[in-house]
Amino acid sequence: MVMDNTLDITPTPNQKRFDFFEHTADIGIIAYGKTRKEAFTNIAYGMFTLLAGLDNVTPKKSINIEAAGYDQDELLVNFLSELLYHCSTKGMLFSKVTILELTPTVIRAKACGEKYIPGKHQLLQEIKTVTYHQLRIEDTGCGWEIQVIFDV
Amino acid sequence: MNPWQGPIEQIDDYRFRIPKSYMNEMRVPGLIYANTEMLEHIKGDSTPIQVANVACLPGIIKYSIAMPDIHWGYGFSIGGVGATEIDKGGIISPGGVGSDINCGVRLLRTNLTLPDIEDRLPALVNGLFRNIPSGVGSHGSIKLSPKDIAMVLHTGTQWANSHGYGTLEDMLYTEEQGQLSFANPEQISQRALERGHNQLGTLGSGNHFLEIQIIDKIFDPRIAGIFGLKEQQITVMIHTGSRGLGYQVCEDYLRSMGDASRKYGIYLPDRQLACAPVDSPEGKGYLGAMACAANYAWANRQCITHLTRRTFEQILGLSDKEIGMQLVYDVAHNIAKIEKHMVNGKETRLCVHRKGATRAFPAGHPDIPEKYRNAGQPVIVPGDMGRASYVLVGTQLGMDEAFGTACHGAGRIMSRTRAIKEAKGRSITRELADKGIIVRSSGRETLAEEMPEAYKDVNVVVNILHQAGIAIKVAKIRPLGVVKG
Repeated sequence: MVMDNTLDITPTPNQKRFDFFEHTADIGIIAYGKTRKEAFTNIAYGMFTLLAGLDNVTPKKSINIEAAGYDQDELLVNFLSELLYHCSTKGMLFSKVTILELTPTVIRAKACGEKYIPGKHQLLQEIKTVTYHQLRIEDTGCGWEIQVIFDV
Repeated sequence: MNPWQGPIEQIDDYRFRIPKSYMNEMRVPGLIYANTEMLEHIKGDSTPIQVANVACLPGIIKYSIAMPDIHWGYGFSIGGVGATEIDKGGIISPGGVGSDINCGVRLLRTNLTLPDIEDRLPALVNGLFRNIPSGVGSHGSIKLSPKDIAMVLHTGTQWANSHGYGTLEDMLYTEEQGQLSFANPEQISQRALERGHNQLGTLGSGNHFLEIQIIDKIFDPRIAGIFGLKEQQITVMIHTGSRGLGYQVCEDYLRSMGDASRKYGIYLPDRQLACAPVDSPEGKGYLGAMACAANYAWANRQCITHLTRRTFEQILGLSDKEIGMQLVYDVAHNIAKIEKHMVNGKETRLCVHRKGATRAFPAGHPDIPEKYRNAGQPVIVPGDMGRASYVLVGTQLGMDEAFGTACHGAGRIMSRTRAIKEAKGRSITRELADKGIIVRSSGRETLAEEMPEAYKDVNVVVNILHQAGIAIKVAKIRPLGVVKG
């Protein structure tokens, strides 16, 4: 593994990784990053922050995540849905996602976390699906922004 | 969201039209049921654009319709109705059903009146809260083997009944008798099965609820009599759907429908409207999978009914017969159905999408139980937890104009985030208690998200349909005890 090619989502001080915003019935996240890859990492982190309190999630189990899409919007939706699947069926909470490969249509990542333990972790929100509504992956000139609305 | 700037023509006091000329791609006009005050609100959240987008879908006929409880959704708005002509390339879209497939509501009547339960009300609410798992990702005590889950997906309520969770009568008074025959479990992904194996008999979170209620007012004594409803009677209402299994089916098919839309060259004004012709392999695949999720939801509401009956017996120390908790009716309000309707004087096979909308067939329709055939189909309309719920009945006008469809609830007016902000420093539980309503919730923020002001006034929503003649008011019910997810 070449370190330059990977990013983890351990919070970096003084750098905002994402914001929540409200939307009629649901909740959206805008994630930021110096690179597209960093923005992908931060949107994943933002999504898990929405799902559960991550402070005491220990990254002790790692799962390989792979997704593909017809275009980068579909890639993003499929990537987040893939992470969500491990949460909703296997009870996994991820506090760290490392992206190993990111092309316009393929993503490979390693997600680390632990299984939900009642009493230790707090579940905050159920996400039904990741939506395409107002989805945006954009190079703003001073960094990347990814906006996603979740059906909660 | 940007307010709607396009044209809206007033047809009469309760009907408004978005002309076809608004967008080149529109195949039919839009029709919104509202009053002038509500229309201003509807315009404010740009929902009319979603009505116009649906009007672009291949095979859509007559109108893209919006019920008065319309609010913003993914693809179709919530409260959106769109019917496509199957034999003319009409499409089916997961965005016209929603992620909680066959989210729906059922109403149970009882032989009880307030004095029978008044002292035991807190115990009943606590008992229901304890016995029926609710909240984020809730799991139930009914664990399904792979063979069982296949049967649930195939047979819905029938599975529940054969396992002791219901009666023949329950099945009779459920839309489609709780079983869509075109369910095809082969179309269900492994992931959907994994999400569904331990969630039967659970309420879930969000706007799902279980309420103990009292009938406040009867508007139509003849029809109320046929439905077995009278003033001061205690009722129970259950609102939930297909849980994680349904969400997964929606996700799986939104993905494959994206490919199908490209394959069939379908113009999509919004990616959440991804679709395929009903008669295509992709369309049939979704229909088969959606029907499985719908059957799961009916089995779910049936299992919860069983748990509710046992809880009442346990807490009140009365027998099943003494309590007399019988199903009035169970309706789906997130579903696509294959139905026959008269179009230009000809019986035509349609795929009717009802997303946040309820089937409301008129008297005489063969698909409603015999006992109700002279009355029409009961339409159960839950309101918010502080105000009221309604029972309506379908009409011939509603059949002719809106494919036999009515509203599904009050409709959100406030985002969840805003509701949480507005509720800061307040105790919703206390406010409801002051009105005599006991509420229990497992989610920390659910009560704030679901507070009464987060919704439109259901009284206004229902009056619009009543005045428009689309569905007629039968009974008004108010909540006494609420279990929230």
